[in-house]
Amino acid sequence: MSAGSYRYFDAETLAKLSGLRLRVQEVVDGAFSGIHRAVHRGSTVEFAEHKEYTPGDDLRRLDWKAYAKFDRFYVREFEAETELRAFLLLDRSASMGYGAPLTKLEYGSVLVGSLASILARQGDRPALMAYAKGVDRYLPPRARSQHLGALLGALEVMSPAGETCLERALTQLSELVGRRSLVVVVSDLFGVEEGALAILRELRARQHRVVVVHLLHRDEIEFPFERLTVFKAMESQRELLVDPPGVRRRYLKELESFCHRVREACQRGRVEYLRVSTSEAVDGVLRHLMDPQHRPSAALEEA
Amino acid sequence: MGFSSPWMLLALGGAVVPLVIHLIGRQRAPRVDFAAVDYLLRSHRKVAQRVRLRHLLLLAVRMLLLATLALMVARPYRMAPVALLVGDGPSSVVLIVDDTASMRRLVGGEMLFARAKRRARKLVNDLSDEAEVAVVALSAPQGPLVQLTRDRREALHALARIEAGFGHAKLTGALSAARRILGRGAIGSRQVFIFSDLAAHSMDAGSMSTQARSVVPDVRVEAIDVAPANTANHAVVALSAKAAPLEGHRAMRIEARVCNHSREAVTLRPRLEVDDNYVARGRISLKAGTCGTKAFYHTFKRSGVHRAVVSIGRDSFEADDRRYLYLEVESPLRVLLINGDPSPLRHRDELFYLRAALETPSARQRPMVISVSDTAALEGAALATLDVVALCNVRGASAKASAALEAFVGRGGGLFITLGAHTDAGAFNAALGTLLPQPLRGGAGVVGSQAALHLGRVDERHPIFTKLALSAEGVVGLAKSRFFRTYRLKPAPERRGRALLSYDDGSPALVEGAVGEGRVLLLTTSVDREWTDLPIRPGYLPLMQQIVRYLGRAAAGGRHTEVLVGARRQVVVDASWDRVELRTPEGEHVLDRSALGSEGQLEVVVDTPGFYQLRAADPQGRWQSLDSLGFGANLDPAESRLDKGKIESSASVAAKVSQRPRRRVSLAHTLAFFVLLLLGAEALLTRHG
Repeated sequence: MSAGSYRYFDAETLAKLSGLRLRVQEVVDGAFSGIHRAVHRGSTVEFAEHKEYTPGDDLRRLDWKAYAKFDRFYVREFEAETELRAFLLLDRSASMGYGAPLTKLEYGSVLVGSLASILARQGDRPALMAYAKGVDRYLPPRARSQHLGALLGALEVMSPAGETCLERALTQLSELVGRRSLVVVVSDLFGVEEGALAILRELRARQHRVVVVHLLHRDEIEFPFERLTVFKAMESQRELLVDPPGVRRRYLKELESFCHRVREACQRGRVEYLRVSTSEAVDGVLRHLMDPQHRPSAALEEA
Repeated sequence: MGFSSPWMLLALGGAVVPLVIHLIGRQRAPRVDFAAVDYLLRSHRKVAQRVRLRHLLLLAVRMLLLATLALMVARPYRMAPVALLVGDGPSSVVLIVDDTASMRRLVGGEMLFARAKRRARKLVNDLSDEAEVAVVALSAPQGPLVQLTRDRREALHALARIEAGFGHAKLTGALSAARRILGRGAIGSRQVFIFSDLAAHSMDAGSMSTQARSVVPDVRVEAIDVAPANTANHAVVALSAKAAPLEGHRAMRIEARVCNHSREAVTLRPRLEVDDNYVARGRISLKAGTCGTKAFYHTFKRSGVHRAVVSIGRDSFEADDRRYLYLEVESPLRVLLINGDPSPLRHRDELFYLRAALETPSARQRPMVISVSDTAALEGAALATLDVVALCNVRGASAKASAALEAFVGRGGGLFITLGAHTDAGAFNAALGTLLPQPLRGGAGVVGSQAALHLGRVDERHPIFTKLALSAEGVVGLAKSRFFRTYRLKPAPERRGRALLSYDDGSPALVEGAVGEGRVLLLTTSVDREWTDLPIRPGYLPLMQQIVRYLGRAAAGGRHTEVLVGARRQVVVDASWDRVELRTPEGEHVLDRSALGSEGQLEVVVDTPGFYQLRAADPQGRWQSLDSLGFGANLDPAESRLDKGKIESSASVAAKVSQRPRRRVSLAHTLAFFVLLLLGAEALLTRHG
């Protein structure tokens, strides 16, 4: 994914702005005024597309003209303008505290905050679920104006700590999420379990739009270290003395293999997968998330 | 290797700097929190071994790099031989080229001698225009191949003429020749160069320095070693044969002495060839530096002369891998009877009974070839071909004949002397005094037939009598023998005459004496019936045969002759021959009478190992083989030892004998190249990091 066209909201620029609210304000006001369209299709007057009739569909929406032309039953679908419920899951485990000038958690917070702001601005209902080993903070979907403030406040005070367990958070989410919703998971996915990926696929199968934002720091993607270094794990006490040039190639291969495995798992369940580096511009990532024409596969290609 | 600035080697300590840095670096490694440690750990496990090895290599390369740099600043050098220099000014140079047998060795497919000549040629070409050069061969230094000359072409031509032979080194002679050459109008500095394998056997005085000091004390002598240090060699150093009667008729035991002149134990397979046919093969294991004897038993199908060769597998020095033996097997006993009282009546002839006794064939005994002549024949006869000479009732002998007889007996021949009416004691003592076991006393004593003497004491342990039947009365068949006239002998204890048979009055009847390697038997009565009836007694025949066989014993056990290469062998052929053909390993040479000495002497130059055989033609052109004059020529066993001799006996040697001068060759370039290699390796290892 290229950040070239969204350079005004890259990590370095955002880092110069103090406070999450200001950062979110800048991103939302500067780049997303009026571009959002609801992604949930409903029964309004604005035609969306045809769909082949299946038993159980509303007979009132049968397109008789199409029947006369093709001798087959088609049902007309219309854009929904109902309120969208968006569940925004943010990983706040210790590993998300890595990075400079913005940590992955800070970057994720801006991303989640911006997304929540955009949704709230068009009347949708964002919800926040911050998790580590379990769900630490949950703000249910609301459409009130105070809700966005509470959500941004929660993001603002969030700090990285503890191990991570996405599966537990998703299990809890699957109980909360009702009708079709937007589910966005922002995490570095380190230590992600197969069970978590299975739940994601299950959510998608329940007609929710599920997007996984795989957030990695540039150091983790490129491993630019040169000197003999002691690497200390952020979610355990493990330490490792490593000569970076000696292991770089093998490490990158391992990481790529990991990313590939996650992406494959997502693709299998038609879960949208977006790998994002914290050095990329936030607005670019947002455009990918908000653009209903955007296909997950394209995002993957660019990632 | 040495160093011009050895104190700079202290910088070698700097080689540990990378190690120290490495160790410190490990401790001072920065600590970084990292989220993807799990993947890092997985990668690290897989590459840890390779990385560790690479690190160690890198560490080693860097340490070597620093150590090499430290060595470079210490300016290392090695000593290398420099080209032979004789100076730019006037100088007189004698080149002594070793052409002895040991220089025929092959090293790397090239003969050492060729290498020596090449080095000598190079030196000649490098000489300044004002230098004079002479060339001497080490094995034949008497006549230099070329005297001091400034003509390079002449010197090179002389070098080209020298061929590697089989002779011995004559270092003292060569140095003496060099001294003579350099003493005659030599100019400028005087030097002697010896191109040799420097084998110890070529140095008579144990070291070249000692010889040079004694022979050419004021001349610089330089030895150029053209041979490698490895002196391993295996050789057959001796070959002999003797009869082996227990193994059968005409059986011989042929012994080969084999030596292992190397530092490793070896198993050799000696091989025996007889008359150009392979007949036997053996096996002998020898420890390093030891010799052993391998015996072959071979039964010859015919008597006479045979050629035997024992060889071992070829090595780099082939000349001593074969040894030649020329031997006679059961050759007939050649006996010359000198008749002092010939008679036209056969039964009155002095030799009638003796000849009949000797010509009677005897089973399983060597046949005899009897020839008869008079005393005059002694002067011209070729006694060397005979085994036994019998002087029967001769008056005396001329001085020339006496000398010939003395030489004959001294070489191992047998002389049988019988007396009679013609014997003149005074003339006899005068002419043959040195050969007689005891001198004769006065005239022959006469006893009446009634008072005839009989045989008394017998030396039963003497070989003559051990094969005769003896009884209490003495030799069976001789007890009744009567002796009417006998000679008495003067006592001569200094001659150590031994009475083998005595008369019953105690006076000696048969006395043995020794002269040189031969034996002389004196019978104090006649061998015919003039003074005794012994010839008609049954014991006469075996007694005479035993006497002659005993005297001819030297030839009984497979006579063989060996000559060392380099010697000159004199053979005497009958003056009656018209031409003589000498067959040597290198070819045949036909010589006419003019090539022989006045007495038929022929000097054979033995310069190649192998067999030397002669045959002669009479005036009618009929050829006859002279088997008894042939011989086998072999290499001096000393040539087989190829150990290096000493060059410098001590620091105080006056003569400046030295090995080739040496000079310092800097190793900086080599080390610089090594540094470049290390830098390349370092870059490679770092890049892959």
